[in-house]
Amino acid sequence: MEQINVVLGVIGSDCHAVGNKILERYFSAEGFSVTNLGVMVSQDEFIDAAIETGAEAILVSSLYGHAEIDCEGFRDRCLERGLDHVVLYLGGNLVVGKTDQTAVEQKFLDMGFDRVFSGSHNELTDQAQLLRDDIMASRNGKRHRAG
Amino acid sequence: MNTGLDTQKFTEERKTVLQSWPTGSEVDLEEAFAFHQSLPKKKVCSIRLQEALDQQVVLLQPRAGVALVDEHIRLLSFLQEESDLLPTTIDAYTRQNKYADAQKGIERSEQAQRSLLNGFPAVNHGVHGCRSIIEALDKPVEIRHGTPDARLLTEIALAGGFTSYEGGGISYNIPYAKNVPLEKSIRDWQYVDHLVGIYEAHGCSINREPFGPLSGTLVPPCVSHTVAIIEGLLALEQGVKSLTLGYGQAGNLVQDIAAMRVLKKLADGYFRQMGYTDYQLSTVFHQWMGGFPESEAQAFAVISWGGVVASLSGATKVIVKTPHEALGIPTKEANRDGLLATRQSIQMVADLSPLDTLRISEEEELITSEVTCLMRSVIELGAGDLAAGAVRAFEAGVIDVPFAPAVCNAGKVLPVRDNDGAVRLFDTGSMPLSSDILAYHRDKIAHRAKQEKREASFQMVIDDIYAISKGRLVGRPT
Amino acid sequence: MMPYTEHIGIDIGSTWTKGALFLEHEDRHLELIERFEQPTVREDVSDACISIYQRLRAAAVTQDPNIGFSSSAHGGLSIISIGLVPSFTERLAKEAALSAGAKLVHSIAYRISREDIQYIEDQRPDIILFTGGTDGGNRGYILENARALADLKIPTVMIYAGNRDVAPAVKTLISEARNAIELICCDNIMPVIEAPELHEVREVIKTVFMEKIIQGKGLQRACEVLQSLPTPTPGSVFELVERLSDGPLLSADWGLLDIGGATTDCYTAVKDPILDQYEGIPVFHRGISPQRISRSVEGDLGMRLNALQAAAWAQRFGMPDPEGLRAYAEEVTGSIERIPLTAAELVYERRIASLCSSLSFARHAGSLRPIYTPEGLQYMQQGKNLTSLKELVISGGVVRTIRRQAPELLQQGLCEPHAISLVPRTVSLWYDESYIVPLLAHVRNADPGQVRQLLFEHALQKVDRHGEPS
Repeated sequence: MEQINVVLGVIGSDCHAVGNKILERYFSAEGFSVTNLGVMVSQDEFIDAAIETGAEAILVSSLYGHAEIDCEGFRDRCLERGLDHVVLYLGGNLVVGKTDQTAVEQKFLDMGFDRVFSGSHNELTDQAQLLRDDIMASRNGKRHRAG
Repeated sequence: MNTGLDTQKFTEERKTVLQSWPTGSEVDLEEAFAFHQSLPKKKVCSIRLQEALDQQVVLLQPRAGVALVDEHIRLLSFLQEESDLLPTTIDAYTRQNKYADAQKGIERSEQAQRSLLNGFPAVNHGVHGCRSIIEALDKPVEIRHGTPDARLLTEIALAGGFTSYEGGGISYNIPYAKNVPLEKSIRDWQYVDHLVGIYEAHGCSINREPFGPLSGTLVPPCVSHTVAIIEGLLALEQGVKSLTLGYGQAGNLVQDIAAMRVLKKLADGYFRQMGYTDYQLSTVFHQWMGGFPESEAQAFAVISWGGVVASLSGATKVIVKTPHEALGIPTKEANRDGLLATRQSIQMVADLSPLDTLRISEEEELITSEVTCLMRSVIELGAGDLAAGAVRAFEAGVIDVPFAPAVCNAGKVLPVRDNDGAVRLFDTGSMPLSSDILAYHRDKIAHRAKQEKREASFQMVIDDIYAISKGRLVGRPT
Repeated sequence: MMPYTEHIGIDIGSTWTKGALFLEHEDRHLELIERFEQPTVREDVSDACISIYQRLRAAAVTQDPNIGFSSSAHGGLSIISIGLVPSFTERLAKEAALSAGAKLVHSIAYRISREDIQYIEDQRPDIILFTGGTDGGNRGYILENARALADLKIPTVMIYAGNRDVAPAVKTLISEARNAIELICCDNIMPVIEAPELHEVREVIKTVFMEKIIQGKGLQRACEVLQSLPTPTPGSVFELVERLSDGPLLSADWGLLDIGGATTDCYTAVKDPILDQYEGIPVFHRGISPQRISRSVEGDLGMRLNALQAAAWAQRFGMPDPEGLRAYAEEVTGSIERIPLTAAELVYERRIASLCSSLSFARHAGSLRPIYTPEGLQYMQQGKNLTSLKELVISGGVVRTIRRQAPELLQQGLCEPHAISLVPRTVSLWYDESYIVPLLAHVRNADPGQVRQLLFEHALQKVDRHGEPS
């Protein structure tokens, strides 16, 4: 199968690396070529790495409830910087408190993320397949987000 | 290089360090020595630790720190009754040497009338701010943080009267920072230890505590023990006299008791082998550092279990979690409740004579041979210089901390629980363990896989990471 | 050399042409000597300008006064701006056009559609400002948009200020197609995100206005007589606001409101467009920070042509008698000469002015959105912080019609529920009764402190802040 490059990292000022290491291994094991930027990654670092590696997806983790602050304008920034078709995933503890996860996910979908996985204990099951499908759809110009 | 720092170079470096923020000018060593010498015994950490060692009791210490001096004193005064040792947890900005940001945080907190920092910004409050804490409380207070370059913080904190100081060049870099070179953090912590050595030379006892749990997530005992022993040796070389080595609860009773017992034995062995004799050695047990259940009742169970293991493993002190662990910064009441639960659980087993089982001694043997493998390699790599050996060991993956953010850590090692819940090595990375040890880990994991009727896989690792927060020790398939 | 300098400033509006002579003393003290105005002749906008110029020259003592003039006649300088993403280049392109003094006809983001092209052709803008992408950034959208623009069937000037890497390709696409577009390429308006470069684009727009557009606006004769090139009126006012906001002694927290018949122009200058904290709670901001000095234009708010649209907001802003206001607005809509005749009409007139000012600030101002984090409540700022605004000069014909009955600046935002609007809190209002602002804008090399003093001397501070009789 042809190589698919993706960029992975934890956005914001958080230094917790556990989930990040898990995702790196998971997506590598699933056959993706993963560029793992580790923790404390800024929006521009994600985009720089995606441009450099020709990544087709950016997988953003956000912990400790700062996602709204850290992820604001991510999709717009991708567009201005030339990533017209990049698939954007977001996952982690996105907001604090036990709020309705569907509402939380919708908020970030509206922000331009293609898929959002909110809550701390997501099982890694079919995410790799989803990602592969989304990247294929994006190659065929079938991204669901208008622009 | 692991040798005592050159006095002249140290003096020059100190000038620069003290000039890096205005409160640095408040540090006057002679005056600080006098302050320490005037402290009543009950406020000196190493004296309290010695009593605990003699009486074989476990001391309790919470974590706590807020932005403003008065507020911090109120918080510690509230926790004082249920604690034996008090903490002062430092805020995130200070840990990254961002004192200007910390200053903003202080100002905002003053305006908002509540703490907007996640700890106490000791550098900004200066020597005088620290002194008012020491003066207001009746128990020893320790600085707890996570600072790769803690030189100025140490200057302020020690002159401010703190008698215990957590951290180390490895343990405050690998789990806390991404891009700090290990050479630099080890060198900066030699400065810290050297300064402690100077206080010791003037009759002021400062306890030093390398940070045991590292990334706090399924860290195999041999990895954290090796780091603890190296940091202990580096500290002794600079003149540190009172050391507390730490270990983070892994979850399996047998493994935890064995780990705590051999930690002290192994450390004593290496310290003496390297020619150090004049020191006081105690141990600290950290209650479970990984993910916590959100329910307070479940969290109390985890906390209480940690208290039991601390007592059974003969720890000198225990660092206590709170029922709000899964949610963020705890209220002072939740913090106190964690202490109460721990105290109760410790006292339920305090009178039990030491547990001696074959399984514990087997586990002790295993950890001892693992640490021996790793330490041998570190010493070889250093070729006479332990500091260089440590740096090279991380470079080579000889020491490899699972789930750590630092780029200088190999990150190849993957731990997983065996069928009994003990932490084993699923992927041993480049750690130079002997073939019989490797086979032992492999067999243990294979046994679990068989019991669970699935292949040992990365999914198993994930299941284990989240198991405790979901209500059990081992991440069994559902 | 004379011990003093004289400055002549003339502004050609669509209905009135105004001019003034200023005297700058040796000690840099500035004085207003003469002020004239006469109706603009629609058929020849240079006419009144030349006549006023000659009267001012006659009043002048020196042989070589500094001369500057501006015009907003014949629709001013009309621009359609194009950017990629609304929060980045589209916004910057708009800001550049507005700060250069343009009448922003339309703004397009993302992909240019067939309808957009049709609209551009119908509007026939003086300039198309085409931006998008950082340097090395987006190519796809930019090239696609260039292809669409290449087929425009109207003569126009196009300024390209987008991704530098695709500039040659844009040039080729535009020049190889059969069109009447004059393309000017300049530096990218956003070479990297967070470091916008509006200045060059602004200068290019002004140069284009002076060199290429004035012919079509009937200003050539004025240029010949005055030996000077005009600027678009709002552009020179913007520069005035800039000049009066820099320097240690000058207040940087002030604004200027020009309430016209059809539009309301709002200029604001603040020291800190982004808040660091609000009532002790940390504030975060993402993306391009708002400009310290900015201009916004409300094309649907005015005292005459758009009186009805303004009046429609009465209820939202808690005003009494919205029906009566509506009836009055209906009556004055479109009749520029209509002035309030009765005390009741004066009240209505003032309410429309209040709505124009308040709404314009409500839209110009940013907001704080509450976000709950583990450290507790924090705010995300969007748009510009105007809470620190202290002084506001109100200009425009309305100042005369409402006869010193200052409009109210209602502290009402338009942001989403729970958010906090960053509209000004306590502001002292001043009137530019003698409509001196656009004229003073041409006093260029004088001491800004003196210019400021003169402006406020001639603007009468509003004394009564507390409401109308109702």
